[in-house]
Amino acid sequence: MERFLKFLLFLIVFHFLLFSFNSAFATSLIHVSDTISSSWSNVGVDHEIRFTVTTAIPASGKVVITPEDGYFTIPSALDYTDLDFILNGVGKDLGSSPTGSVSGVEVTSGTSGKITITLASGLSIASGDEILVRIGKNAVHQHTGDQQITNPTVNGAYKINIQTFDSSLNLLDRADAMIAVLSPVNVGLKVEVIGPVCGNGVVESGEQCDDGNTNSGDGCSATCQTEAPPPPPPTAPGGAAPAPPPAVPTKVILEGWAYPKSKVTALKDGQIVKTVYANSSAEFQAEISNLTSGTYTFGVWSEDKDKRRSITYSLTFYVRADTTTKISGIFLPPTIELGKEAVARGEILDIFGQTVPKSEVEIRVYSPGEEIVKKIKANEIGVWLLAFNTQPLEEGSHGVKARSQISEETVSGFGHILGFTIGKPLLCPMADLNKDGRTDLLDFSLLMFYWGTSNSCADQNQDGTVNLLDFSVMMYWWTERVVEACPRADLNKDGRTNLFDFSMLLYWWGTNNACADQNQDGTVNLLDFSIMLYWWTG
Amino acid sequence: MFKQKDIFPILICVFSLSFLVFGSAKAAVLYLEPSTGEYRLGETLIEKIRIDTEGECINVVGVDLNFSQDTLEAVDFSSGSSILTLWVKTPYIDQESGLISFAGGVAGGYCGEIPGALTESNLLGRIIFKVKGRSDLTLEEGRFGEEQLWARIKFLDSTQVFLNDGKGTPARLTKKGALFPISFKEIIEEPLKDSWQEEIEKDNIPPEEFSPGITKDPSVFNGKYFLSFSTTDKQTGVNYYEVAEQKRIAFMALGEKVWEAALTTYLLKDQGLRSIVAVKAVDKAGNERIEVITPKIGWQDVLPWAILALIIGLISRWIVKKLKLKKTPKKSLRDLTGQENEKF
Repeated sequence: MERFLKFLLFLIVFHFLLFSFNSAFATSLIHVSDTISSSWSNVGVDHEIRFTVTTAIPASGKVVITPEDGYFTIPSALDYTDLDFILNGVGKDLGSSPTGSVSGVEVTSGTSGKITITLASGLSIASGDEILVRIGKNAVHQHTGDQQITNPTVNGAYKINIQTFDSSLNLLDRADAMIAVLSPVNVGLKVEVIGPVCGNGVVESGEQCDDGNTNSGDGCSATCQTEAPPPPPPTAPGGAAPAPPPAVPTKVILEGWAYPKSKVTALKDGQIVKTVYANSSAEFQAEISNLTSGTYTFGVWSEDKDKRRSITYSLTFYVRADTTTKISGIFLPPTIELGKEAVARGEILDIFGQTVPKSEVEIRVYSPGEEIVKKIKANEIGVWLLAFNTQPLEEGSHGVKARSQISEETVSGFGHILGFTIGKPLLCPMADLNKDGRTDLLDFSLLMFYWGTSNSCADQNQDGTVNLLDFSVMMYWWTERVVEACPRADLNKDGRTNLFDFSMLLYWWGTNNACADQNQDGTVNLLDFSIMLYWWTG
Repeated sequence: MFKQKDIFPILICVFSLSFLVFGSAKAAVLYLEPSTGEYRLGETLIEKIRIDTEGECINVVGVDLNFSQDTLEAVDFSSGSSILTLWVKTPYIDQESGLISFAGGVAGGYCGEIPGALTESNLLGRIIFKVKGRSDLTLEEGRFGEEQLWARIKFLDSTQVFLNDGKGTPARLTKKGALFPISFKEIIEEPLKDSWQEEIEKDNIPPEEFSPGITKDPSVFNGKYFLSFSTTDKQTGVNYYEVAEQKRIAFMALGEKVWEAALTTYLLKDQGLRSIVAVKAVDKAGNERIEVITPKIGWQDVLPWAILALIIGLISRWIVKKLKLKKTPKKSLRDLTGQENEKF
């Protein structure tokens, strides 16, 4: 009880200190936010920084915006023309230096940069005033911006620090806006909609009218169909009514890069709707018709020349009737394979696959606490091979993944992540102690028999003793090898993961069927369904 | 300053602080739309369940929702234009306990909306509620009384979202429910619109085309043939499926189709696969899409016809023969008689 009271007291003091610490800066800016136009890493983005002032900023005072040091890049060309300074909804004039009515903008470029806005000598900001600072192409007051701050290259949460000062550089307010930077999922995608746009004031195919808005009840409906009473049909000079413009078919075109001359499979809501072949430059185009208006999920996957399968590249978007939606820039990540799944330290590990010819392949080897990045060029048929020296890696488990880059803007996402281990060559790999091709109860019995000894077969991690770590290795392979019976959730083993497998999964739902229970947690459930959908081929 | 045993509260505080600091780290957000507003008694409320994946790729969503069963009546669930295309747990409404649950997935995963794409495409489903009064409160009490009625919808802790990483990793999840005050005002002045009914009346598009398939596997249904199918409806959503097996002789179907309710898996009655199999998907508006699997013509189909043709041929031949036989003796007799006459 005494201990609990002590803990409670500590909590109260701690939180008191925490809030006191926050308020120790006299005041903190409130309602602080930074909205960025894209959360993707390593891309130029527009910032919209909002905050409410709590301590009045006198004339010639300063507002300093500092992105987290070492992560964001402020281009040297960024200046006052790329900024908007909006006070209570009213844009204030900006220049390179402050005057009586113009506030000055000073930019320190680089990765440790900052932007300082010095208020005009005739401008002061009161407590409670709302400030919006736009930085980037979204700046439109006086000038339209053309420079943007570049996001960090590494995913994570980052701070944008905002401080206000008086003219003597005494700190008045401060606050941090947090933003998240993520891996781009759909890098370089371009969406193009060809067809009528209701509400643009132009009567296009499929539209009976277009009054420049999408309001119903004004004679022209929200979907650009005439509302009763219909207007008299327009008459051509010759007296004949003009022929209606030809309707645009509702279709979707998916185009991008796969692997040279590979078969590319397109899925619509999980079902195969089209197979096309990529050309020798790995470019493909798939056209999907018979669509109505609504939200669809389209998937694209392919197999390289050695039947290595890509991930399924998935896109969910709304298709409007009588339009053609073209999605270009789909870039399937490189396929990847390892020469071996277990190597001795210092041994060369071949990491290879196929991608777009002559593209640059970035291979990332993940190790606990570090990441090794290697770049190589794919050859004329897109084949790439990295002879990776495992000497710098510690013994243990590691992961590897790869992505390709055709140009600065055209980068694929990462594909499948493969795992490998570094250690002495194992006498009994995959904890198959009796070498019967399975890791099961018999192997467990043998492990128990050798428990505490230095048996080199049972000592899976080669630490000199058969112990819990070896048991853990065995458990890993137990799962993996059972799953090997039905890899990739292909329950009926027909080489595809599709509706048949889904039916079988439902059949086994809630049971402990070893084949359907992909994660071997003892029950066929949502987790196994999730694994199935990951491997879905249609 | 602190003894070793005091390190525990410090760790707790550091942990709670780190949670405060990093609490805004990426997590999928499940939310309801609308989440505020005032609704009138008898009004239809179409509640959209949406997801913001915050840059993550997800593939399975299992939702359990609780709603105020005394002020809301869940009358329907629409999967129209849902990003979920395969349903392991079809939407289930339990009005008595105020529960709605469903679970579905997106093959290949859903990685959020595409920049530049038209309209929002993060819908999981829509629940159609009717706003109702509380049984212990009369209309007068509600209209003039001081008691404010509320309708609350919230996600239960059992709601789950999984990442599309091939491992079934649960996604970090933020859940945002909805709370509405119920108004008794203007109940008489203005007729209430049933927007769901209007939507149903407008829907004249059948569910999407689909390709049912027949297969068998030793591990399921004792190795018997079964049917698999699934489709979507982009407007009001698929309501139900039906399957009919129709016997046939060669190219001819026999009798009328007898439809039977089915889910996405159906154990075939005709294990000989000689029947025409039809699968009907019906949306909430009653629009139907029927896909048919016609088995290939095999020797079993041709044989009865061949036998019949053979029998008919034989009978015809026999009849012709008989006719000939009937004619021939007369002629022969006459001829014979003639010959004989000539002879004699």
